[in-house]
Order: sequence, then structure tokens, then C-alpha cells
Amino acid sequence: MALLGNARISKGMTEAMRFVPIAVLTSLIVPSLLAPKGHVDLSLTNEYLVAGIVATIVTYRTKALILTIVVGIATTLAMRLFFS
Amino acid sequence: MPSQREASLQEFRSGLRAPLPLVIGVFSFGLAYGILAVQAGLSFLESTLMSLTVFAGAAQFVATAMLMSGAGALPILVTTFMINSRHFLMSASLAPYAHGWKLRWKALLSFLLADETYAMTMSRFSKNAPSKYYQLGVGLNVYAVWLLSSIAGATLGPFVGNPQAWGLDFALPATFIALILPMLETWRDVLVCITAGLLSIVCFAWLPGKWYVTFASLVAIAFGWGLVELCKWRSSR
Repeated sequence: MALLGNARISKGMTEAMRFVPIAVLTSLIVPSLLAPKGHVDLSLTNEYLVAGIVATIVTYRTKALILTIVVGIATTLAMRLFFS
Repeated sequence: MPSQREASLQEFRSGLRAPLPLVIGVFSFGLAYGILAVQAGLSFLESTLMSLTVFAGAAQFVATAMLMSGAGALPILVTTFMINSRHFLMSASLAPYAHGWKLRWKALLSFLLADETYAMTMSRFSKNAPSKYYQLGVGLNVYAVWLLSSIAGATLGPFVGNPQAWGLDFALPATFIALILPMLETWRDVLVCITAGLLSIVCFAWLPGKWYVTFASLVAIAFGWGLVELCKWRSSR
């Protein structure tokens, strides 16, 4: 921010900047949901995948962040208790 | 008409208030960090100093995990640099708003920049007039919560067995999901999101360390940029 503050950025690029948070956050989160132990695991015993799907549905339906986190944590915990 | 000072104060206050819905997410993450850091062998002071001076969740987690596995200083430096390379992209997209701000403001706000701070500031600046006081408020809130929660975690650390046993490790993925979904407003946003997701999982398997974040997001952003230019070109014909 300090370094690039005076650089000129084209209009198309400024429009494309709206994709930055979407792309960065998505590519940060997807592997941690699909491969939490270092290898891709698409089974229903992958608690991160299941909790991720549940959290997505909760966010989509309610748009409530705190509810999403609580339900996500509860799902993770329930899956671990169930499968251990 | 309110004075300049009053207006700045008002911006600062609404900045302080903005991340309140995120407090639980950040707090759980900081708590988990503090607990993990102490369990990895860092002292209370060391883990707190890391939160005070580094202030980067993912990087602190990775540094702690690597310290635990006995890694040297250089691998830790390189890996955490890569994880935080997304800050180049994030701050570059904030830079147009910061045009004309003093260097010390930019330096301070750059330090306080985090994923949560970025998401809040960006969505505010895209609809309202950009204010450094607003960004300062957001940053200080998240910083304070991060510091307090990691102190709480480092205090609790010796008493809690394993943060995973509490499901606290899912607080961050859940926060991210709740941040991303509302940002998907157009079909182009959705396409960029899908591209980033698919690419990241492919790159995750093929690239070393955390390079997949930087590479997948850069390609997905370029793809989105291409879509924007393509739409312009088609509508201008």
C-alpha cells in the first residue's frame, strides 16, 4: 500500500480488483476444506468438508456470521465425536 | 455541517463498530493460536510478542507449527512470506483509495491490514467515500481482539488439551465462508470463485508449500479481468 500508492492503475484493472478478495479467500479456504490432512478427501468422514457445506448453506439462507461459525464449529465437533 | 474533526471521529467510530460481527471468529482463532503456541513450546511472552508484532493469523499458525517440527529460521521466513504474499494483492487494490495519504498513515494502515480488515474496508470504500479514520478503526478493533484472544489462549494453553477437540479450528473456515458468499454479486464473481477453488485444489497437489494460494488467486483474478475486458469489447462492437 505504501509502495504502490502512487502507481497508476488502469480502469479495467481497477474493476478486476473486486475479484481479489474472492479469489484469495477462496483459494485459501478450498484446499483446507477438501484436503485438511494434506491429501484430497471427498468422503463424508471429512468433517471439514461436511461442516463447510453446512456453513455455506447457513450463510446462504441467513447471512448471519455468528450463526455460521457456531453451526460450523458444532458440526465439526459432532462429526469428530461421532467418528472417533 | 459537522467539523472536519467530528467527521473523522465519526468515521473512526463506525470503523471500530464494523468488525463486531467478526469478533467471535477472530477471537476463536486467536484463542486457538495462543493455546497452540504455548503447546508448541513458546513462552507466554513469546506467543504474545508474535501477536503484537506480526499480527497475521495464518502466518503465526504456520510459524508455530514449523517451530514445533524443529524447522530453522529461513524455511519459516520463506513460508510465512509466501502465505502473506496475498497482502501484495490486497494492498494494491486498496492503493487507489489511499492516494494522497501521508506515508506514516499508509505504513500504519498497512501494518493493521488483515483479511478481515481488508474485506470490511474494501466493501465500505466501494460504496462510501474512503476514510483513513474508518480503516484505522477497523484495524485497531481486529488488532485488539487478536491480541486479547491470543493472550487468553496463551493463559488457557496449559489447561486445554487440544483445540481441535473443541472444534475451534473450524472458526476460521466458517468466517471465510461467511465473508466470501456475500461478495458473489454477479455471474462473473461466481465464475472467478469457482476458478479459484478448482485451481487451488489442483495447485495444492502440485506446488510446494503455500504457493497454491498465490498462484491460484493470481490466475483466477486474471481470468476475471479477461471476462471484464471481453464483456466491454463485445458491448462496444
